[in-house]
Amino acid sequence: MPLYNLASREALEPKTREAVAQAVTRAHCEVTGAPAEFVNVMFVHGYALARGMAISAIGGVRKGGTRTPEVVERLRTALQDAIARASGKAIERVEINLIGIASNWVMEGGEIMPDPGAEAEWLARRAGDR
Amino acid sequence: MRKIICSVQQRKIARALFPDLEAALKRCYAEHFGARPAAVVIWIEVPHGQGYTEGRLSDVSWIMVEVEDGLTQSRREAAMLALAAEWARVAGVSTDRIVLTLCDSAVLGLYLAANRKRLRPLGRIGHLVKTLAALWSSRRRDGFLSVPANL
Repeated sequence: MPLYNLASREALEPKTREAVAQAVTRAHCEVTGAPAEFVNVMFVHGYALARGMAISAIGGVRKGGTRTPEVVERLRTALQDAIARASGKAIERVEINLIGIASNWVMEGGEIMPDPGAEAEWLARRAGDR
Repeated sequence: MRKIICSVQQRKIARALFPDLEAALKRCYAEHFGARPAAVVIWIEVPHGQGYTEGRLSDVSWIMVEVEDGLTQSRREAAMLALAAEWARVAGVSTDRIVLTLCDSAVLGLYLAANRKRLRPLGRIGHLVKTLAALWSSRRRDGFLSVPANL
């Protein structure tokens, strides 16, 4: 978590998908401070998106902790910008919909995920367990 | 009916494992939450090159399990541990390769509604028809419910 589902009408080229996935990962980590290993991106195509839209992203993201409404809004605009740049689409043709999910509803690596902002402790504990 | 949506990377989890994984998930779900409402497993195979983790091609399975709204954390956590352990055992993978979410029904509803709303109105009808057709034909052909990642 997060898991971003990026839909487009036509399939993006493999190189573009890779660039977009990396741009999404970077944007998410820069704004939220989450580690890159948490970030998942899935591409789907064949979607008859709403008029004018080229790429539509739905992101299931952790809420609470350091994720204030301001941070979430910054994340939304950073993702929109990152996806537009990496895909070569106009920014107004990229839409982002973020859905907040409680951290303790999610398990990764066999452990309940930490609240946003408490990742360092969680990663250290996990490394110690291995 | 509660949904368990399993998005798996093509070629990373063999289709031959789906029936055993499905049986394990349903058994585990029923043990923790009872047999009613029943759990329905829906498979989505993510084609090679369409799933990424940490900016690289992914081998992680993303599993979303619908649960009753307001489920207590102790019950949620117990079920999460059991479901992840079952998946890892049957699939023969580490729990590191699973992202498992036990999601309140209302929040899963938001996610599914967002997926519909991003389509133009006529596209929503086409999406529904294609989804139902895919579920029906996969059940007949494979014995499990699956929908394609791409429409």
